[in-house]
Amino acid sequence: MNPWLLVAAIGIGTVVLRGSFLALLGPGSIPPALQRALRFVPAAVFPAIALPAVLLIDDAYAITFANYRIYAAIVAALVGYRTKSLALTMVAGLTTLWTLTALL
Amino acid sequence: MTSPVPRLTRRQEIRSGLLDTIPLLLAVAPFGFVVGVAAVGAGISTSLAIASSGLIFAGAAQIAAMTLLGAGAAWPTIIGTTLVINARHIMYSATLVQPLGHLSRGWRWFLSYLMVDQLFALTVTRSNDGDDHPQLQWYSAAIGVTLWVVWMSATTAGAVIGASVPASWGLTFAAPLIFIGLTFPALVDRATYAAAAASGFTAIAAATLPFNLGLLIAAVVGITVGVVVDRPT
Repeated sequence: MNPWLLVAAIGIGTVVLRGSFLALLGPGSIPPALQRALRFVPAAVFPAIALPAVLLIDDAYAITFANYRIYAAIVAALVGYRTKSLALTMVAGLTTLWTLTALL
Repeated sequence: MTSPVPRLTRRQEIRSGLLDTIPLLLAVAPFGFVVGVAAVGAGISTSLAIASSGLIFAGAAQIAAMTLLGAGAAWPTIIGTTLVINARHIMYSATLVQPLGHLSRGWRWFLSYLMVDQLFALTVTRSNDGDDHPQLQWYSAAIGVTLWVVWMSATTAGAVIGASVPASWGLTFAAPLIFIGLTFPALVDRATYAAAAASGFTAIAAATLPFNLGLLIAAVVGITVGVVVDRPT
């Protein structure tokens, strides 16, 4: 089979997943118990994306003093907690990482 | 009859969407570039590498698909792997019914196509910010279209140039920073803090599982803990 068809199939599958509730099933398709659970999706998904990306390097744990990303993430988290601003959080994290990399 | 909270216009939504996209580009542009490089590096043709960005429009799934395709994996394996990686979008889709479910079918499919992690994150954060957002779809569309253009351009550049961004720039760190920055607005009470803590610990413990399974497990654990803590005693 043609690899273009494979990529198209993956693309269609991805759109169907993304549209599953929003576009296919629509409003009223979500039972109240699920509705209560969905309130926790952001809080349960965002840290789960962020933390492994900070603590692992090339798919291996790097929970050491030499992993500057950890310090930068802590600074970013403090700024994020105080300001709730995405832009300031990113500037704080990247600046910390660059400073540590340049100095140490 | 005045509204108790600010009621934002279409123009304000588009403006905010464009402004909120700027910090995301620090992560999306290098990531797209790397995906383009990785696809060509895996032996995929330049044209298919570029087209896959438009057809799939999901970074992690694209890298997995290109890598497996280049390695000659079986078709069901490739399709199954990418769909497992993207399974989190089912949760996103269900979550977005509340703020966006009233839209026309065309709008809902359009936004579904564009609904990458960052767009979901910004859309749901804005829908919960306390203001009235009758034109929220324009906010999401402004972000989604901008990300799409940048993603296509970046993968094209990566596929054509085939070089890589110097690792010393540390720009791969921009992606986790996005999600650190978006976590805090989502923490509004004891139950959401508990959900985030449980999910974070689980994600670290399960981080080496294949196919992003650690993320799915952590999400389920976090949501469960949130619901349990939330239950009135």
